[in-house]
Amino acid sequence: MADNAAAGARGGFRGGFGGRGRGGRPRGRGRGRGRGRGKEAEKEWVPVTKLGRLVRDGKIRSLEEIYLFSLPIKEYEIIDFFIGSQLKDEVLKIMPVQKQTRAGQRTRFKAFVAIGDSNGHIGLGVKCSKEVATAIRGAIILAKLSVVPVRRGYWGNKIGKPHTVPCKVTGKCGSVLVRLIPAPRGTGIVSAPVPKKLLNMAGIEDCYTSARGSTGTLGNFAKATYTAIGKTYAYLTPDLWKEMPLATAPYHEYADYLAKNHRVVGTGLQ
Amino acid sequence: MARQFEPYVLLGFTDERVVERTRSAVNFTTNKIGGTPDWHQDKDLPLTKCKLCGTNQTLVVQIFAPLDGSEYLRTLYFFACPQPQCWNRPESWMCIRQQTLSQTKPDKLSGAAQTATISSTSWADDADNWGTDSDDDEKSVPSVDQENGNIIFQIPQNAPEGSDTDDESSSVEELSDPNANSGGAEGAFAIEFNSKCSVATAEIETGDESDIVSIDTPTQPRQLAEIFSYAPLPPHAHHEFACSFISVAEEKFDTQRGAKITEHELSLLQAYQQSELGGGDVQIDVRKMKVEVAGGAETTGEQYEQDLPSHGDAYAHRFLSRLKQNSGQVIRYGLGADPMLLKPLSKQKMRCTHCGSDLVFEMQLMPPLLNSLSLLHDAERMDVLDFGTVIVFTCPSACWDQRGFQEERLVVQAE
Repeated sequence: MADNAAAGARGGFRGGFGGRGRGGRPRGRGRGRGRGRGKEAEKEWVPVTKLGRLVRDGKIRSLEEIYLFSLPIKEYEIIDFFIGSQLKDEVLKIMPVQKQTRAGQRTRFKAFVAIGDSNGHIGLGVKCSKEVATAIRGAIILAKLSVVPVRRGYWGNKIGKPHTVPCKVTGKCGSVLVRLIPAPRGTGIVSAPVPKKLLNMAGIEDCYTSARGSTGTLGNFAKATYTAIGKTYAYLTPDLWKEMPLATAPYHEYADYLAKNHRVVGTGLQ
Repeated sequence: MARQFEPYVLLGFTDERVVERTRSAVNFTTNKIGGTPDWHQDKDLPLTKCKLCGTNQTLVVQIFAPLDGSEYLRTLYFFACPQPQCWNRPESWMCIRQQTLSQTKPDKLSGAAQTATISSTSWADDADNWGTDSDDDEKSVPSVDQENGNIIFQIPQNAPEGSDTDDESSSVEELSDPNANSGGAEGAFAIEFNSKCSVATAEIETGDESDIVSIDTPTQPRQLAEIFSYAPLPPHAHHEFACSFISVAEEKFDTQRGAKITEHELSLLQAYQQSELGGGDVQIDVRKMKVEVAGGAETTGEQYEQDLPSHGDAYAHRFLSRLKQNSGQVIRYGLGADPMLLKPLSKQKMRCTHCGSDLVFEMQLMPPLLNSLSLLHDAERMDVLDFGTVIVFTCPSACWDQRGFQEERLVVQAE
C-alpha cells in the first residue's frame, strides 16, 4: 500500500481525523488510495478473517483441510485461492420477483448461479437485487462461499476412477424431494435439466435421479439437488467403519479456531 | 447494502513505515500504527498493564482527532496486550484520551494561512533582511509551498517573548528550513505549542503503585492452549509494534459500478440465453450493455429471498461485504455514525464515568490492521494480535479533568 516513490517527495500531510467537516479531506495528488480505486480487478487480496490470513500465508495446504475441520469460510477469495482457476460458473435462472411495499410493488431480479470445478466441488448461490448485474455478482460470491466437497463412488466393480454417487442420497427443500441413485458407468446423468447442470459441475458422470414435489420452483429444485450432493460426504458407508484415530491438527491454529467457532453463530449479545 | 444516510465516514489506510528520516515529524498530532505513544507535553505516562495477565500493553494505534468546536487538541491511544491468551478479550484492551488546549483557535489558523498566501509574493523582500528587525513579524510571514499544495505558514524567526531555552529556539529554526519534512499544519501546531508555555497541566496519580506488587504471572493457559503454536511472549519485556503512518480518505461506495455489467457476466448471460432454461426471457443488448428480463413471479411462484451465506453468519457477511468495498481499511472513523458490527451490541446505554452523558460511537479498528502489525524486535513472528473489530465510544463533550488522561469505553468483538 505504500507509495515509496512519492514518499520521499511529500512532506507528509496524510489527511486527518476529527469532528465533522474538519481536516478530513486528503489534499494533494492522488496517492496509493486514489490510484487503487480505478483498477478493481488487479487489487491484491487483503485478507480480513483469521482463516483468510492463514490461507494467504500458505499455512493451509488445500481446501480439503478446511473441510476436514469444518471451519466456516467467510471470504470467497479463499476458494478462489485454491481452486479458482478450475471453477466454472453458470447462471441457472434469472427472474424478476416482486415485493409488495406500501408504495406499490417493487421489482427485483433474482439470480441463481451454480459454480463447480467438475472434479469434486459444487456451490450454489441465490441473490436478489435491483439490478441484474448486481444480482449475478452477488450470487457468484454466495456460490463460492457455499462450495462443498462431493464424494463419488462406484456402482459395481471398483475399477478406474469413481464415477457416480456412492449410495442413494436424497435432498429436500420446500416441497421438492430429489433422490440421487448410483448408475453404471456410461449411463450419463438421467435427470431434468436443472439437476443435470449441477451434477455435471460436481463431477458426477453417471447418475439416476428421481424428483418429487413442485419441481417448477427452480429455486427449491436446485437447492434440493445441492443438498443431496452435499450429503454424499455425510453418509457413513461401510468402508468408513474402520476406527481411525482422531486427527491431530497439523497446524495447531485449527484447535484454537474450533474453540472459538462454537461462539460465533447466533450466540447473541456482546 | 450501502446506507447513505449517515454522516460521512473517514477511513484510515496503512501508509509508509516511519523511518529515521521521518521520525521527527511524529508527534502527538500524528496518526500512526505501532511505535511508542507520543504523549502530549512529552510527559511519559506509566505503561499500562493488561488487566488479565499483567503484561505491559503495547500501543496499537494513535489517532489525532480534535473535535469540531472544541479548542482542545485531542489524541486517542489504543493499547492491547500482545499475549495470545488475552486476545479478543475486552479486558486486555485500553483506550486513553489525552487533550490539551491549543493556543490558536481553529478559524484563526486558517486566517493565518490566508495571510501567508497573500504575502507569499513578497517573500523576496526578505532577502536583505538578515533578521535584525524585530517588528516585521506581521508583514512578512514566509510561507513554504509544499509539493502537494499545502501552504505552511512559519513562525516568525523572532522568537517568543517568554521562555527562551535552547531547545525551543533550535526547534523553531529547524522547522523554518523549507527542506525539512515537517508535518504540515500539524507541525505548526506542535511548534507553536512548544514555544509558548502550555496552559493545561497534568498530574499523574502515583498513589496506588507502591501498594500493589504487580508481578502477576500470566494466567494458567486453557487445555487447548497447550498445543497452540502461539508461544506466549515474555511478560516483563517491553514489546513494540513496528511504526507506520496512516493516510485518511473518505468512505466512498462505488454505486456506479454496481449497475454496469462486466464481460464475464455478459458471457454468463449469453450462455444462459442459449441454454434450455433461459429461453426467451432475457434480451441482451451488447452494444448498450443492457439486459432485460421478462417473466413474472406468478408463473414461477418464486419469492423475494434474503441472501444468507451458507456459513449462516449474517452479521459477518454484511460486515465483510461492506469492508471489501473499501478493502484495506484499518480505521473507520465516524463520530456519531453507526458502527459496523460483527455481533449485535447489548442494548444497555453506555454512560461516561465522569460526566454521565451518553457515549457516542467515534471510531473502530478493522481487521486489515492485523496485516500491518509486526513486532519490532521479532519480525518473523506471524501472529501478534487478533480481534474482529474494536469499537470505541467516547464522551461527546470530551470532558477533561486535568488528571492527564481519560479512559474511553471499548467494545471488542471477536470474529
